Amino acid sequence: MRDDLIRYAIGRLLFLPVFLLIVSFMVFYIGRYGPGDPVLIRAGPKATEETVEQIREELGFDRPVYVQYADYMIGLVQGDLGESINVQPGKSVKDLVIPRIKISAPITLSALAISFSIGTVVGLIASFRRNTWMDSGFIGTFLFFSSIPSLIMVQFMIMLLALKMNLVPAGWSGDWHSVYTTNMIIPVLTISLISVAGVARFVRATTLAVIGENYVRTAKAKGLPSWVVATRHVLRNALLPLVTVVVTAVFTAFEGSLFVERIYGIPGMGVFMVDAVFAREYDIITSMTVIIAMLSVVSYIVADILYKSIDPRVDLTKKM
Amino acid sequence: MSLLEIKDLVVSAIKNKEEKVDILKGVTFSLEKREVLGIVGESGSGKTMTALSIMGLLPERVYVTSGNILFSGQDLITAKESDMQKIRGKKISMIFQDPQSSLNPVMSVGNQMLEMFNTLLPDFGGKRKKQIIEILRKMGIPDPERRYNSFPHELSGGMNQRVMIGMMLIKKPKILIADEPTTALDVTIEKRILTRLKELVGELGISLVLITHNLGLVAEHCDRVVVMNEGQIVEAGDVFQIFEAPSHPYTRKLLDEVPKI
Repeated sequence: MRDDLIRYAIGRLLFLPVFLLIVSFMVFYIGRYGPGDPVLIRAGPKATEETVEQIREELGFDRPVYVQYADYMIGLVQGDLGESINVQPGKSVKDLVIPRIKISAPITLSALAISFSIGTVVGLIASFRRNTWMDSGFIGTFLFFSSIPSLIMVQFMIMLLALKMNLVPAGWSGDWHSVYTTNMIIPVLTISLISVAGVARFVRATTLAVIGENYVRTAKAKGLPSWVVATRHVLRNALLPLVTVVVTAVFTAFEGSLFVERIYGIPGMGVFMVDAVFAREYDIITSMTVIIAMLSVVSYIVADILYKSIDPRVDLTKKM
Repeated sequence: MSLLEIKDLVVSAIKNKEEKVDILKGVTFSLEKREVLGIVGESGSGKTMTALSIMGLLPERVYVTSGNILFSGQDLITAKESDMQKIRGKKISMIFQDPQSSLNPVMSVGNQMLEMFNTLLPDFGGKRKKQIIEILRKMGIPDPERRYNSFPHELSGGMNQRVMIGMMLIKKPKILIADEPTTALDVTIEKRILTRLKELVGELGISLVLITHNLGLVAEHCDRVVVMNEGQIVEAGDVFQIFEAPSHPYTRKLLDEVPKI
């Protein structure tokens, strides 16, 4: 019984290196041949031709691209994500990334936990009380929040919670050590408030589909109390599709949220990655892309396996 | 007093705010103890809606406008939902047309049947399990111990319908409503399942309401028959009498449409 799951996971994981090789190759080459030059950025506008060439040589960018790629890949398989050129010259990417993940991941994960739990409850209420004031009221309220762009929402939160009520700081202070403080409240609140509506509408739609199923009518015909019909028959089937969404969201949580981080002044991953692109930080861009690609693939494998263990109809051994 | 009496049942569907359509236009019939009653009619004639009204399981936007459904003297139309929950599955059971979709896909057959006992107490000594396996065996399911842990998608349509029947009979109800129970199955399985069902119903002293569009099944299995057309009962009576001398033109039309072999 569990054998097929393990075989499936191994089969998929064996494919992973090939996939990552393709991804890294593409990102690496696009970076090198794309517009912009990190050497020029590092050398500054007043540098002479000679200095530029000297820096290029120091950084090894004068070598053929395939040599650079091989060099990078050898490092990558040993766990070396490369080093920074411009953001913090000479510092290893790993040392730059880890403290940022320690900020972005807890924020995003907390926001996910809040938005998925509230969203699920709201979606269920809306579907069980469909076409009543509760349905349109709840869904409408959260749709209103999700239609506000996050960059506006953060500012509104700062105005309300920090400036008016004086409950939380008006901007981030400190490094990753200070993540579990009042620092966290505005970013978490903003991200979760915006995403509740999406979850709620998803749950509402899947639940409504299940409520109309024949087996729900059977459950009622068996004389089961309403709460048993709702939990054991409707809920379980309705929340199945949510598994994939939650798992993928959790695995990519470390990416952070660009707008919220930028406006609240959080030294997180979202801001970091965008800055890396502007500074043409080849190693950071490639390494982050490879990591994100890897996590997405793994998240789908985990979701599939989880799905299989909840839904007996799923057969992972079938060829796709 | 009859076991079940339906008087002037009118069921309407709300089309929009102003308009409503009558699906059942004053249906009256009764069901006696240990009787097998056939309800025949084309699709859309209101057979299923009649059954669902009895169960109190009418779909959304469809409701009973007037009339009574008396079950041992109790009016099911005015009964509270909590009272209906005590009747459904225990006093009046129902099985449906498509067995495959009528069972929960993510629950094992055994667990779905266990729910009929509707209790939070654990199954001490596996007594309930034994009872379930016994009824599965009675329904003609081979290897019921293994089937107990199967999921609906692992069983054929015929097997699933046997499971449904067994499940709905486990609390020994007074009435079993079978809504086109074999329409989705092939003919040889149809015969075997219906024979099994009638034997069990007879053994347990249950009244059976067999809803079908197949007059052959009615002739073979029923004591009495009610013919429905466009939400009304056009003819009712003894099976022999109706097959011998159909009085209503619609019944004659239905009889003429039965292929002669």
